[in-house]
Amino acid sequence: MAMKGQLLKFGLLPVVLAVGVAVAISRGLPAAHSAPGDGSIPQGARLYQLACMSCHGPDGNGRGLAPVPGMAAPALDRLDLNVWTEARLAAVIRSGSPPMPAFGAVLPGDAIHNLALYVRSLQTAPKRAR
Amino acid sequence: MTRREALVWLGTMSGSLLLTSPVRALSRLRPVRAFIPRLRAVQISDIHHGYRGVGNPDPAASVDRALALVKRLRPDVLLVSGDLIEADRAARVRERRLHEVWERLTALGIPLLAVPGEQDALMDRGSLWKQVVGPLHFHEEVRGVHVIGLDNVSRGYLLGSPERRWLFNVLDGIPQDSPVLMMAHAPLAWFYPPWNWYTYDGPAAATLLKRFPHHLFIHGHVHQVLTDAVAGIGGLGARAVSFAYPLPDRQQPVPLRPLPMPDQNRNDGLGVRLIEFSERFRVTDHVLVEPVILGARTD
Repeated sequence: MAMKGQLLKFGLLPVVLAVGVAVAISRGLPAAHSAPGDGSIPQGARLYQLACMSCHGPDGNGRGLAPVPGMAAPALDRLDLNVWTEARLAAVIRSGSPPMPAFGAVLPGDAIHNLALYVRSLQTAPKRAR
Repeated sequence: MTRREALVWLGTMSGSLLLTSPVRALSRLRPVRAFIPRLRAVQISDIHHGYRGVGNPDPAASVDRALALVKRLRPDVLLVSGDLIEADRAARVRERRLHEVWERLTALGIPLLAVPGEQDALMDRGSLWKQVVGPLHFHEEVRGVHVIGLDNVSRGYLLGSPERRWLFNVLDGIPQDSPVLMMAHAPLAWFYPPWNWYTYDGPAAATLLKRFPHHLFIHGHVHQVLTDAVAGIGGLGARAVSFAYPLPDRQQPVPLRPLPMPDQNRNDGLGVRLIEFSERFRVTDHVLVEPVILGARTD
């Protein structure tokens, strides 16, 4: 009986250990496919170059084309990140605000999410304290 | 053979060659078929009514000259490819300008088909355009040619899925051998996004034209004659009536600014386009400048 217990203890132990190690590893490594909500700043950067840079300028510096005379698009590199949350940015990108286009007409949700992440990554001014 | 006989022989041979050569040459010529257009349309673009700047010190004179040329060309329909006005922050200024220019065009007495430019429609998503001009996108048949106008500016440089669906349904109902003339303000191709010379979902729209052997896509926005292509469909940008733009330099990006118009060469770079259809489309770009006659006396 004692031998059976020993066998059980030592037989299951490697299994338990293996499972434990697997769980630990999976939490440390990036998933093979991004989980919903992760987003991609490089993807956002590419979209920014195509759809946003013409008006908001390179790196969001505000030195772009005025889509309408006298109405330059604002710079995006001095945002208060406590005010301009990812959700708020995504809402503006999706719905637009004339003369800013409503990109929700052509961009899916994950693309808008990536754009919002990229814009937040452009910030050069120190964040305001809460 | 005497010398006289030789000369006669030589003369006869030469004469025969001379006479038969042109006959042989003529027999190789194909008969020229007259191009009798079924449809004559003129495209006028980018009037930018209200513009003041170095691009044109007297834009009103350019519009007068352009409209006089349109009347001389006597089209069946006048196609207006957007930016009728120079936009302004104030809605009442935009409204006045659009009314003024639309009344001017209507007074020509030529049927009009117009698409908005971003100057006309971006500020209010096309609300003023719909009141003054009409629908933002349309399909009309003019003398057997299907003319389709797209709105790729009122919500940004894009069409969006509702308009793409509408376009698909329109084209689906057109017989394949019918001529299709499609018009928009901005190019459908991603010609140069840093200057907003593109339509985000333009390629998806352009590809719908592929099944029509007789098609033509024309646009404005670029203020010059310019050819572009997307999804195997060519596009033709048109000269403006207001001011000219440079071509973008992809190696040295610079901000987009009108080309300054020299005093001694007014209307340089401006023009209108004649489009004719008879079994195929034929496009002729007309310029607004006075023709320069080489060697003309100036005293």
